[in-house]
Amino acid sequence: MTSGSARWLLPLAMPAASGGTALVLALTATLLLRGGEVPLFLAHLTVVLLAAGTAYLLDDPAAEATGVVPTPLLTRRLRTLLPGIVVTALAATAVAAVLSSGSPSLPLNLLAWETLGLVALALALSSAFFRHGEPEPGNLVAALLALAVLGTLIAQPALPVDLLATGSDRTIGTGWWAVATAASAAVLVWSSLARTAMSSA
Amino acid sequence: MTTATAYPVRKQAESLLTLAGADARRFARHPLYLLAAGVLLFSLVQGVVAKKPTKIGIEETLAPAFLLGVFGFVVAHRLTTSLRRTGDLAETAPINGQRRTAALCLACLVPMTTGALVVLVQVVAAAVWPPTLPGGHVAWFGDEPNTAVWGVLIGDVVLAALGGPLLGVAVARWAPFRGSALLGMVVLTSVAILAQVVPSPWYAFSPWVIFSDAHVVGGEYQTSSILDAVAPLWWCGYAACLCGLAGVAALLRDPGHRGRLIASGAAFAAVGVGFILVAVS
Repeated sequence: MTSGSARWLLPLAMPAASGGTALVLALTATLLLRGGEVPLFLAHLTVVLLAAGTAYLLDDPAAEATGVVPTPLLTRRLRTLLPGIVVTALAATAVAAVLSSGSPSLPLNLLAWETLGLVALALALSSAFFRHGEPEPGNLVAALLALAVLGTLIAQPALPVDLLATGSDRTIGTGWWAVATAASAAVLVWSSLARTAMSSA
Repeated sequence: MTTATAYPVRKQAESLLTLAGADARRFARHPLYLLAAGVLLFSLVQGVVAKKPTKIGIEETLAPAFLLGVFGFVVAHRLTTSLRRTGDLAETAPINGQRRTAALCLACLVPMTTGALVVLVQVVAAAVWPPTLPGGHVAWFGDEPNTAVWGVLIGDVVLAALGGPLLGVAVARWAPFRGSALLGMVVLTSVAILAQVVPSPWYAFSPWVIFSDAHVVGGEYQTSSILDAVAPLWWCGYAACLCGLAGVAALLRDPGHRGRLIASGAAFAAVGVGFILVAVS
């Protein structure tokens, strides 16, 4: 393997690892629960794993040095983000296939929107932390995302609406996830452009 | 010969306690811990103001167990890995890695104390305003044996608040790679969830157990009770042994006292098996 291909593949390691772990979790749960359905809580854990892996895509331990290169930050990020999102999408498709085979009543459409929204949120948070001086925000954002999702699942019965899919009609619509995804994407783009402006000033 | 081995035993203990105090302050000031403690405090105050400190009995152990156990796992993990992130600074201190790990383990008493205070406040407040349900039976003092209720409160809250952070230290020492905190959290919660499908009473082997059963109609709790398949107080002994094993695992990462640590681990494992077998019999 050349150093060029290694440089290209290394950032994909975390999304691939977390996507693989989500698939293992889905497979394990489906096999253990043959005859029954995978609990929605576990399905949400697979969503967390898929989304949290993308939080590492913006990690750049050499941020101080790479900040001065002429290539805009957004362009450099897109070279990592696009393959990373493809890897995550492939893993998500595999997880959805496993879950739908053993648990046909799971709201996979809602879970897909949640995954998309949480991926966008993870990238936006990573970008925000990066902009505020954290060169490797992946670990922090992944942990925060997992805590936020788990906390929401536990606290939901006390809330007026269900933010995450529960199979009830209290769950917020996919439109809210579309809005959250768009807003997160805007934050990601803005912070990438703003950081470029700062380093070229 | 390191400075630590030439040091008198009393001085070593004092330095360990000093370092543990510093780590305890770091733990208590960590933003995630403050957030968890703040949410718990808000929930307790809200319950007391509404004169319903515990609405449905022991079912409400889930929130403090998550806030102190899982949040505590992440806090302890980040405090432990911060020693790697500041390796040049940490290595200059006249104290070896095992003592630093021991100090971090002692700092896990912070969330455990918080858990104990939460339980105490709930019990005292519920003595003034006891929980009631439409169906009558509540998984709480009065309707269930006192030992069973105390067992659930201690096991599911206090020991969860200790065990989660200790596990965080152990995972950070043995698996400091990127994503280990996330993986640890997911495994911890997955095991607790999947344990519920294990035939009774063997779900008790899970590090955290849901002891309650509830009858719900239209989203409203009617009655709640403690499952009698597992004796909660004996299960607490098993959970305490798991905490001990987590601490031993964290300390085993560094050389030194291997024999004593392995013997302690074996003792914890043997006693833990004894407790769980009694709990499920």
